[in-house]
Amino acid sequence: MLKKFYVAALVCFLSLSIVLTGCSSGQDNKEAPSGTGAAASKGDKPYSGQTIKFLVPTWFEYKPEFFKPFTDKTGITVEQEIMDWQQIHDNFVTASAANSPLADVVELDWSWVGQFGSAGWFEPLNQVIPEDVQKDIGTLNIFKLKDDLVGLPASNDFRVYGIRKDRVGDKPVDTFDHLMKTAKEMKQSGADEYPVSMTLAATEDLSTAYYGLVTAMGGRLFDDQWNLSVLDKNSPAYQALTYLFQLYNDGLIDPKALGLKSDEVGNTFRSGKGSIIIGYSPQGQKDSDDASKSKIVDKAVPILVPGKNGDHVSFGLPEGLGIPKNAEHKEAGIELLKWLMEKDTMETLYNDYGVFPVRNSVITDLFNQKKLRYGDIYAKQLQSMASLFPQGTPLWYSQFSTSVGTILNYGLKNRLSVDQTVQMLKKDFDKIDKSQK
Amino acid sequence: MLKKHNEYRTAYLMIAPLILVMLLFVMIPFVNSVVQSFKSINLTQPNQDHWIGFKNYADLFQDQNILSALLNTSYYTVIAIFFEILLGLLIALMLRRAFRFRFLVLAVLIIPWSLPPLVGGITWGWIFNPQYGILNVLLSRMGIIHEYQLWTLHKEATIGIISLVHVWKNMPFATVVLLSFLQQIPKDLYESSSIDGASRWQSFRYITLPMLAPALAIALTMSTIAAINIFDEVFSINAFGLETRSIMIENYSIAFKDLRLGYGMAVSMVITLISLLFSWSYIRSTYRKEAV
Repeated sequence: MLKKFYVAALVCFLSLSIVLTGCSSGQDNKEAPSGTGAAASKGDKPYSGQTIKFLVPTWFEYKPEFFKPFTDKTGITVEQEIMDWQQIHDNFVTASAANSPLADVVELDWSWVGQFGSAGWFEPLNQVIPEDVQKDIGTLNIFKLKDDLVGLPASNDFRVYGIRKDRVGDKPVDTFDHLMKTAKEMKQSGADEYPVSMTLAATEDLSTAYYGLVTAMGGRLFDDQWNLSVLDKNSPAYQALTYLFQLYNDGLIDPKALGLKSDEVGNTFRSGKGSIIIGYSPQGQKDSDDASKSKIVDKAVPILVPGKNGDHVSFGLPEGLGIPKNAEHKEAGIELLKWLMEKDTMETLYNDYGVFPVRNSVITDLFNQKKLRYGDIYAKQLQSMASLFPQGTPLWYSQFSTSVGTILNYGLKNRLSVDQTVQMLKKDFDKIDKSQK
Repeated sequence: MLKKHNEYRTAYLMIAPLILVMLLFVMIPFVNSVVQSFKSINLTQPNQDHWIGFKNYADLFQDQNILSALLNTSYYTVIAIFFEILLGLLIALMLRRAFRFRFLVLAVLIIPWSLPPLVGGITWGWIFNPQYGILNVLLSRMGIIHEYQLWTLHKEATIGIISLVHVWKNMPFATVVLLSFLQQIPKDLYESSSIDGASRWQSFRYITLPMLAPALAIALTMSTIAAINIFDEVFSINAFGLETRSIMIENYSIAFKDLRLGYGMAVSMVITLISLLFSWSYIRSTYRKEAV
């Protein structure tokens, strides 16, 4: 009997050890913190020998040789981890809430700045990035929260429109009335069954496409007191919604767009369907000119966002990078950010990976070197960029934006009127706790 | 007396590791979640958590999105239970008999269940994709449709598609459970009933079904819990679409997109309670029947 007892006790002890070892794993292999003493002893490569984790979505996946110059310069090795954009969001939230390090440099989308910045999950970068570099980045303010620079833009994503010049020809598309008229003429003539391409799926893409229409029509989503502008029938926000519904209800947009994300709409456009694409980007244009991805090489061109009174207002959707507060190698991560902000690195990123530069001087250089196709259009568009939230991105942005995408999709799918859709938006918006500042 | 005491001690020691693991990874997080569901916790406002009593629970029962998600989930649950149990039982009855390649059929049947849920969801998402989905390609080549269709245009069709994917994934489990119990029913019972002149239907009604009651309770419980927790299938096919959103998608959106953890915990508690109620009622009715 005693033997039985000892065996049971041993099993219990071993199990407990395994559980506790599991709980404490991850604590043992930490490198020594890179304090200033250690830094001083390593000369100009203070963080040499450290390996940092670089967690980014698929479109920021670089070949390992891309980081070689950085490793040669700093002695820091970069380990890329590629994840789906939404998964990065969820994993980062979970890891940060549990104060568990996930990576040293992490994707920070502009739409996450309000939430993650106010949660204090990112290291402020105001002091570590040279001031001249900061001044050279046009979209930097989007990554500021109460004067704290919580991340740096890494890809200058902004929206233009695109047209098939072989189909649209000289027909005007510089105002929204022109766009509607041109699209209707193309449909009536049989030139294109669904002349306008844009995503209408219940995702963030539809929300941002709608915001694009609002800003292009000279409006804002909220007034200064955070009241929903779309409730006013005379507001550009209401007109933008009416316009969107008209495009769909008049059969100018393919109903299948209700189930297609923006990248799928882009693929459809590149396969030869559609003549005017709303929510186009420099990267989209680069893909349209890539024969391995497109059937419309040299047929599609970017154009300025249509507008009113000769305006062509767009807004930026930059994707950025940040250093999590609980990163294990913050200083080495900052070194990587500094290197990514260097002019040469940005030029390589544009030339080899199509990442549109965030520094104005790099855009100018590329344009002068004739390496930036349609650079004149982009440069002109970049001069007319509106801020989506001049008061700063609200903490409840994500909640609001999810509502907008899903409700617009629901309204279009179920053929609701604009007013019915606005009432749904209002109802959802009223539920949001806006006391969060 | 001392011997019995020592035996108990041994038994307790043997189950201690399991209890420890359950405590650490199930009970403590569960109690923590219950406590947090009575608090206002928003991750964007660190260190501002505060006790709000039943407010989260009161709010959620007035939240149209949650009520609509609960209604959608009830559709998924009813459809899933009906088809998983019915088809599972039919297939189990067929597989009970020995035939050539029976084990191969069984192995193939298990594949959907063994796939990670997201893989199955993504695969079906591709099948129904309006741009390049194989269903559109096939129907178009057969001349049944003239242009590619968006299969998720109407709510009823989308709920049907999502339910189909869910049944495809979960039905094998019901089949295997039912089959394992079917194989344990003594053949003598059927032979005796046959001698007594019972028809096939009577044998099934008065022998097979009663003997399968515990298996049906297990299959029903698992099917119900899986349907209440439906997520990947909905997300892969219609993302956050309002008209098909399940309660788990709504919960995910609240907790992980909006970062309202307290409210999200309250929703989780309601989901857990609903699952427990169903499971308890199935098991209770089964054991009551057995007792009778």
